[in-house]
Amino acid sequence: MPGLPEVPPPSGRRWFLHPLLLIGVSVVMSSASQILFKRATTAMGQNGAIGPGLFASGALWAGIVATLISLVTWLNALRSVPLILAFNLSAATYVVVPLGCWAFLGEGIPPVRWIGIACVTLGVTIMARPLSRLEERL
Amino acid sequence: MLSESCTIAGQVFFKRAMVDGRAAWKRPAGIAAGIVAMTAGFFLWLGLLHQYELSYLYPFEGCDRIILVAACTVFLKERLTRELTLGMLLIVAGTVLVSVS
Repeated sequence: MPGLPEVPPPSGRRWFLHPLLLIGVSVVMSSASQILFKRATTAMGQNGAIGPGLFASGALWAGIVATLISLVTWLNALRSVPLILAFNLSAATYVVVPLGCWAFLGEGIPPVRWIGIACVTLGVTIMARPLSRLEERL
Repeated sequence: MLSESCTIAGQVFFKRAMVDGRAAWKRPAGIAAGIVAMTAGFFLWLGLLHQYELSYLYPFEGCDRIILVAACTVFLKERLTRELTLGMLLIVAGTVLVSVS
């Protein structure tokens, strides 16, 4: 497939460096960080301005750690996956974040949003296929 | 849009650093440039998070797919295949649906 010439052969590559796994970990960590940032900013109150007090929030720091883990796994994935593909696969966050908001923040998900989530899931699945096929071929 | 553009610029810097940055100084410089761009986007994002629900705000990031395709084509010479186009259209449609819900 054009645009995917950079995936290195699996020989000598450890299983935890598989690009799909790295992107998956990055997506989960990125989603967790968004939920944690929301927790941190919500704790300040709707009318309070964002200030130095925010940095006393444990949720903010946990979110920053999750962001760093997401960044490291993302950078490793970018070594072997074209950005145009990796970035679109990372759209899985549009599924994980609303589900996380529903589960952990108590935010509601209206029916139209569920349809949108289904579209994103289908799009990510279609995009993940070429990468998986290339991995199998190699 | 400013927040999105900062994020995309950061991603292009990262990709360049991880693929082309074979010279000793190029990789850290590229990663640093990416982090600076993404940090700017992050603080803009925090300001928005303070005022809106995350599940409402987050899907607006879907606009960045279009900016990304342009950036990858121009700066990284990556090609958009039929499967990628179909997947991307579904993702953009999905994010629009989530945004209007």
